[in-house]
Amino acid sequence: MRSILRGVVTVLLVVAGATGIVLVDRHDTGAREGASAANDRLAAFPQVPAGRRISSSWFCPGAAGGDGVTSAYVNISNPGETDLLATVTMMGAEKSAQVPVTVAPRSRTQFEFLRGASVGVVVPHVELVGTTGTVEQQLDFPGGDVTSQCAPDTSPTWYFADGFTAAGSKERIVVTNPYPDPAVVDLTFTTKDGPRRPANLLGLVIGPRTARSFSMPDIGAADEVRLAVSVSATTGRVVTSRIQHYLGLGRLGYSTTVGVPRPLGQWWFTSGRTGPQVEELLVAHNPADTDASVQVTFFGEGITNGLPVDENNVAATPTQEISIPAGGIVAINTAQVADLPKGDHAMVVSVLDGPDIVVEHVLSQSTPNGSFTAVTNGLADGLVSNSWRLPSGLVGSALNAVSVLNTTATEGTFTVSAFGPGGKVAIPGLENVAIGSASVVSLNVPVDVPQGEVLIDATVPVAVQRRMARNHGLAGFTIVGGLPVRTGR
Amino acid sequence: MVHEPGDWFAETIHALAGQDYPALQHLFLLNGALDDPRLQPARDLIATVLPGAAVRHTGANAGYAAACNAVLSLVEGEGGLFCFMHDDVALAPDAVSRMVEELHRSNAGVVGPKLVHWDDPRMIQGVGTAVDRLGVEMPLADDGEIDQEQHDAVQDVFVLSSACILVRSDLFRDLGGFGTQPGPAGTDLDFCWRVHLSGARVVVVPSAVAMHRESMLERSDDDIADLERERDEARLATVLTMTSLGRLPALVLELVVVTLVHAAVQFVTGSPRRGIDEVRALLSLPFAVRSVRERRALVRRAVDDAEVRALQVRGSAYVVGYLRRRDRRRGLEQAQAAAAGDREATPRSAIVLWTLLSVVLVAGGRSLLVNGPAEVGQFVALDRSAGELARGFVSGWWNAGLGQSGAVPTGLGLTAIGGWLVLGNTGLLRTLAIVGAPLVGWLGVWRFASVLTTRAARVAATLAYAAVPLAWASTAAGRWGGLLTYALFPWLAHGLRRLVGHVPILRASSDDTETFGDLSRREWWRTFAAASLAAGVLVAFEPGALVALLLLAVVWAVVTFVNGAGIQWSLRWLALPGLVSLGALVLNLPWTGAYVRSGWWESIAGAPVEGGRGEGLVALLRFQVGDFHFAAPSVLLMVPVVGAMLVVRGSRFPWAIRGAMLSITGLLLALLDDKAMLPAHLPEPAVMLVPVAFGLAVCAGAMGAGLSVDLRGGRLSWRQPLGALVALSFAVGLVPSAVNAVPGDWSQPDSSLARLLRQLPATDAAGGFRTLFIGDPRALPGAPMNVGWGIGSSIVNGRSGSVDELWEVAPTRTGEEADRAVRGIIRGTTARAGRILGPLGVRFVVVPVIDGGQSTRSRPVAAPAGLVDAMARQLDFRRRYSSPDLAVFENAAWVPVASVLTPGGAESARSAGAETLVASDLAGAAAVLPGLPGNRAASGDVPAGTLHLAVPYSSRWTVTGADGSRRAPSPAFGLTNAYDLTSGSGAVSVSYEPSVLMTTLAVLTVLLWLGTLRVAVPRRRRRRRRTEAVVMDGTALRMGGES
Repeated sequence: MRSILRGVVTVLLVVAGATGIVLVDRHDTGAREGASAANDRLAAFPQVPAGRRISSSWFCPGAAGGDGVTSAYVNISNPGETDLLATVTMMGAEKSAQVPVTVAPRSRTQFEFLRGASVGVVVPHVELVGTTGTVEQQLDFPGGDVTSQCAPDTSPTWYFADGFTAAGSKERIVVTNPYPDPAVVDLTFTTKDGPRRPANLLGLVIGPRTARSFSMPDIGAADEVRLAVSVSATTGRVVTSRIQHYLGLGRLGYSTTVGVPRPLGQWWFTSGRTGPQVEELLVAHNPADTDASVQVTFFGEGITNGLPVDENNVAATPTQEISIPAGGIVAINTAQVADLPKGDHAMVVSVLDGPDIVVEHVLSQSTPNGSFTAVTNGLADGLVSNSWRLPSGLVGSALNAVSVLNTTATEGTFTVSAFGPGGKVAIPGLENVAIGSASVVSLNVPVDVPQGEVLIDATVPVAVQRRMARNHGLAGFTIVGGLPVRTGR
Repeated sequence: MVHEPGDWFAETIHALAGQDYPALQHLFLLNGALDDPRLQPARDLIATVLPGAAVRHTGANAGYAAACNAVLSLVEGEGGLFCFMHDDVALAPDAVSRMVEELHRSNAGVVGPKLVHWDDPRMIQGVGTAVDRLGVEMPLADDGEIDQEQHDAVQDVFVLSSACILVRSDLFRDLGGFGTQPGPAGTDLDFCWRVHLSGARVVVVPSAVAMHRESMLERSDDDIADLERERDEARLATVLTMTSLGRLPALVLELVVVTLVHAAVQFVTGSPRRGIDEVRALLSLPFAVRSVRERRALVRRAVDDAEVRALQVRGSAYVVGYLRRRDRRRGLEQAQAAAAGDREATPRSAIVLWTLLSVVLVAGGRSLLVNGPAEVGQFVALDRSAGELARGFVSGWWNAGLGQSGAVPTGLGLTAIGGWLVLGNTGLLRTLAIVGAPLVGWLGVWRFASVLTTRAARVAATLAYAAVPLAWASTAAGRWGGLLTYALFPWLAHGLRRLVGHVPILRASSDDTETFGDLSRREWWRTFAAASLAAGVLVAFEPGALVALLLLAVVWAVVTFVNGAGIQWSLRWLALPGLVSLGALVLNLPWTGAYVRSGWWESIAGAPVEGGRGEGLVALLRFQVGDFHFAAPSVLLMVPVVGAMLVVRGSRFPWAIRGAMLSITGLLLALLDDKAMLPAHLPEPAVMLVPVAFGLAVCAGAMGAGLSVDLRGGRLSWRQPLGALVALSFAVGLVPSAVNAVPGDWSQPDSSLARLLRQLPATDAAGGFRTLFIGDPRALPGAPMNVGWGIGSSIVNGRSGSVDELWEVAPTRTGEEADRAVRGIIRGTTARAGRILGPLGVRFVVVPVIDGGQSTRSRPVAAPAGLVDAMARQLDFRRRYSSPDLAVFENAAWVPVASVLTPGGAESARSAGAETLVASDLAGAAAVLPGLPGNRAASGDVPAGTLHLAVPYSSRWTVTGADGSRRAPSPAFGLTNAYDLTSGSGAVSVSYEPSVLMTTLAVLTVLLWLGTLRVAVPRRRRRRRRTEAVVMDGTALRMGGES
């Protein structure tokens, strides 16, 4: 009897083991994350990672000597409680130089990087220890000061949807290689006549830790009102920026901007405007080989758009489906959108079908005091955030200085704070500001706002852009995006 | 002659008293002093039973021969006979009279009785011994042979046992008695040979019977070995003494050749100790020349050498003895098999097996034997001398990766010892260890399978273990840990089996109840020490093997319990492996002390492959841990696991179940780990599949025994065809190993990672450097550490791993900083990882994809997603080489391991932390003092400035100036060593001051190993030297008169 029992137990053990083997073998192993986090597809878009980092990089657009720029700065903001160690590397056509900078706690330091250079371009690369600090570039230009965002990472590809060389306007594409190895890039562009791929712009070598400038009129893209540029590195990774001087045909002003590292399916803009003497264009470029179908959706006072986010209202503005041909550029003039109320609004350009695209927002306005053109990249869809930082701060008494768009169907609130000598303080009157679902709020800045970095904390994901004064007594503004605080990295 | 008499002495006395020989006088030589109280019972007994006997005391233990020779002075009178006896010999009543009668009849000089066993007089102990011309003895009857009157003829013999011997007194006096110089083990041969040279006959009288208590069968292995060693020395000296001068040169030559050949035979036939003893005896001869010369002068040569030779065995007693033993064994086996109803495999099967395995081993690894194994995986180059390894071991400086002050792995010390054993040729050691490891494993299985009793079981088990591709795949992939586990695991199982108490099963028992028995205390400790040593070696190189041992313990404990054995035997299976493991850990102290920390499991089991290896069940069933061609049929080797459970019956069944459960559970665990379904990862499959292979071998052994015992001669049932089917499957499963032996390199790669990295500069004028490897842990050299997200990293000195880097280094601040940099690369939290790694001497950063070992072109392990791209984001990494096999980046911010920093760098060095490093550009540091830190000392001219040594901060690294002044180090970057040499340039020397504590602990470790080895190796009990002179008490005796 015992022998039989032993046999049964033994058989059970063996069968259990064999069954376990069969069952386990059917289980699939999961994919390993690897170093995917380091290769985030949105890493090169302007942003501030929320997690701890050993160091952060800021690749700014740079400035060209001889363009009339009085001075060029990088604004390094330190909202932290301790000194911030920074290293500014200035890359020119031939060489680079490095300068250490220490930024005191709760303050902002300006570092002049052009240093009186009268020729060539200088591109600053700011490295900060940790993640406390933020960086923006600021140009002191008689035709209007320019504040530009800096990219936190390099990329093998860069895109510019808009470009303008008509009426003697100047456009430079600056390719910067911050690495110790040479980079090899192809520069291609698209005009109203279609894509062009000149042989002499293929296989361009960018030396280690140098910046190389390409004048678009000089390389065969003169007198173009539509000019999209793509830079693709076949070896290495680069940063590509555009230095644009508008001189006519409705555009006037100066801008420097880092390109966008990749096409996306959705772009947010919060500082749109329509009205008399205003020309607002959404310049969309499709760098892919197939056509894309896009739709523009507007947000603002008196606007309903038929989206689920405000499904209780009646659609008043048609959201047209627009085709962007492969390799082509399409400028969407918002003035031609039926029933779009005049005034400020926010927009989102969404790809309905087809490949991702690149979109830039071009706003030109004539006022009695002069004309101006503001050009800005869209905010990447994956970067809408509950928290935003504005490194250069806000100027007191500025009207409609910040546009905050609630990108969700949930109502929420947001608070605007600023860093001063005493630390972070909420700006009076800008605390717990209500924001409806899918609505946009424009903020007027109080007179006594602290001069330090500004922080916007919302209870819902929002998109934020600023309107920056041009100074020098000039009318108009430039539009600069805020820096989304990115969680989960 | 009475020495420490026991209870038996009464029977001896009574037997003497009962002799029918009328003119017998008794003289008892008591070994001891007159007032020795321990001899009083013997004196009382003699006085009671033989009141007329003379009793004398030797005063001291001078030995049998010297004591017997006392009769030369004690006994007066010519004529008569001396009968010398041990105190444990009981004569038959007519023994003396029959010997005397035959002595006279044969006109012999010396006669002796037939010696039989005391406890069982049916068993013969000896009837004289034949001897060849080299003195090699060949007993005419074997000890233990049943007496069937087969040896009852009176005959001349060459040697008689002095346990009981009758000698003509005049002859004894002429010869000067027994020779005392050859020692007790050579007394008989020496005396009888001299008798022959004097022209007298030596005759055995089987009709005279004497029971002798002391039997070789009752002696321990140690005693027998001890006696044989003494016999060897005495034999050689006696041969040289007795042989005539004219024949001596030829005989010496013959002696040397035959001894060496026989010693070699002993080595290969599993009696290495005997071989060593014979060689040692030969080597001791030159030291015995004086003694031999003195003895030769005393030899009386009345007859020619040729006449004596005629009495000796023709040819070699070794050969004749072997043939006789073989015939006897065959007969015995046939008789046993006939009685049991089964048929044992012929000895030829074992010969064929080992010949086959030897051919496979040599032919399959011929390329490895000729060219050396490829530098792949853990098969690192062993280019340091044994002395360097030993000095490193005791220094307390472990030059692995970034280096570490503290305990050095015991494996380095063992490697040094191994290097000395091969006369310093560490390359040869590497080749022999890798090529020979499978053989060690096979021998272990052969020994283990002795528990299954039948030769068929041993053959089948060994063949199965050898046919499993595990060893070959481990060789191909360079998995030294797996290979060593394969070699030593069966020995551990064998030792544990003995310690637990499993005794070999009864051959034809149909009862599946298990039999247990305890070892003697001495043998238990010896076995325990041997098992601990084996486990110690295993832990020293592959600590993860303890998991395999744990698996064996748990599974066999459960099976033992389920099988109905007592709970104590089951518990022993749990406790003893634990004790052996503990012993192994203790043997590896203080190094294993480093495991007492967080992350200890990874240092034992190795870096995990997050998400699982994903090899799959089929690959595991094929044991494909490396390249192995035509592996599919290997799956059939698992058939005996199932077959054994169905076919095997009786006493073999429990072992079949043990093997099957070990295989199944081991496979299940390996598969769970493969799919990352366990809470903690396990050691690599090369290690974890060893229990599976071993269980398979046990099943095959049980199956082999079952086929030869259970299925023969029985009624035809489903078992016979099933058994045939299993055997057929098993046979097909053998084919892959045979096929893979053909190329001769066990699929080792032509191009390995180490070879590819030779394109990188060696440590040259640019200064010493380190290389950081990042990637899938399977493709990394050294001892990879887990970083996370399926990525591991390892840092090695120079461009490829060395033997120092086979073990994981305990965390240091420096290591943590390097780890932080690696995480920064992987997570994209810094683009300046190069600056963090720069002061640590990391010049190259390599992402291996195909290492030629675990990741090959036919079985590639994909590089972690996005890793190369992440490296490309680093602002200081210059791409040196990129291919599908690997990507190599050079860190533009690196600083030589020993360098003089720039003023800016020196300023930065005063601050601590990664923040400082990220913000500091240390470019421009000048390399100095090549050879550091590997050599632990260097000297040379150093320019003025701050000398930086990229080692974890330690005050033991000292700098001495030309004027003898010592500079204390200060922490650089809070991590490494810096020395202020700003006062001026000049010659300095840098050295590491060994830690007294670590050196002492290292020496203690060595002593502990030696002590354990001494316990593990069968010890020889030193016999007491008999150097004291005999001082007889009392008066002389008169032959035929009264005392």
